[in-house]
Amino acid sequence: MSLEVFQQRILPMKDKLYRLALRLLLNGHDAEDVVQEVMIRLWTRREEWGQWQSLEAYCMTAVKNSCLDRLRKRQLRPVGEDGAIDVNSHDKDPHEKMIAKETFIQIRRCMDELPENQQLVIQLREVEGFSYNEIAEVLGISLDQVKVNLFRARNAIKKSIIQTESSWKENR
Amino acid sequence: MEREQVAQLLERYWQVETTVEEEKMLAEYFRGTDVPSEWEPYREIFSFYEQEHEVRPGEGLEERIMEAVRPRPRLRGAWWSAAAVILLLLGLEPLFRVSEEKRVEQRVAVVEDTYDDPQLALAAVQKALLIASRNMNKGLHPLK
Repeated sequence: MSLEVFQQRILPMKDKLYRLALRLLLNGHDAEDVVQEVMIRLWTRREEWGQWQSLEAYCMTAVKNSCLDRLRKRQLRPVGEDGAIDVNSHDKDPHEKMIAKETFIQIRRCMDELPENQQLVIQLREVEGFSYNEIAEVLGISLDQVKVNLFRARNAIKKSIIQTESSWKENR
Repeated sequence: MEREQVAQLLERYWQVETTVEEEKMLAEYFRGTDVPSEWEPYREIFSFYEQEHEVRPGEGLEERIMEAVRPRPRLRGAWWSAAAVILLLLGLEPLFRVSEEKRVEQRVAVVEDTYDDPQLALAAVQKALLIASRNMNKGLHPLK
């Protein structure tokens, strides 16, 4: 019975969980590891599913926390040890497999440089279409904080892309 | 959607006042071909988010998760082996029963009478007990 629930309700979340992990970790392999880890942990706690308000919010929060843990460990680890990942590199990033438009590269670079909460809010709202309430629940912040972070992030991206476009026009 | 309406929605979008549905309308508008050039940067932003939404993990991820979650087939194999052993033992049971009968026969043979005269039998028992008691006394002697 619970295997069915797992396959129908939890497993299909893997794509958005992966995208969230990828946004934070910037590495496809690590992002997959986190999703796998979180899903298996969720399975071992299947007796508790009924007590959770929203399985989706629970999963998203678990992935976010797991990613932040990894990022902290990466900072502690000296660069170069067991091929430590260069956080600023998109070399092995699945994004690269897509046709990389220059404007897209610019937007992504701008997103990468945003503070953590702004990145997360943008990812959940613009990419996944979450409501403000859902975002507040996943991130454990107030509605006002969600809006402030979204306001700053949207306007930072707008500013960055307008600057890029105008500098191209000047160069032409 | 009218250009004026889009301009208003955009204004509210930057102020974080739009609903998810209104943002979907904006995305839909920017997917179209009739976008003025001054809004070209915005079209790029909305189309970037749509592309981000298409990002998927590798094909093997789902299989790896299910592999960890599914009941182990190896365990099921172990149950079959255990069942096979029990069936085998049940099958061999008549053989054990035969040898048990033989053992009972042997034991019966041991307790068959060896003496016809009760006097002789008593003497033999007394002699055996005397030997045993003498040996016990000999064994206890060094302890005194």
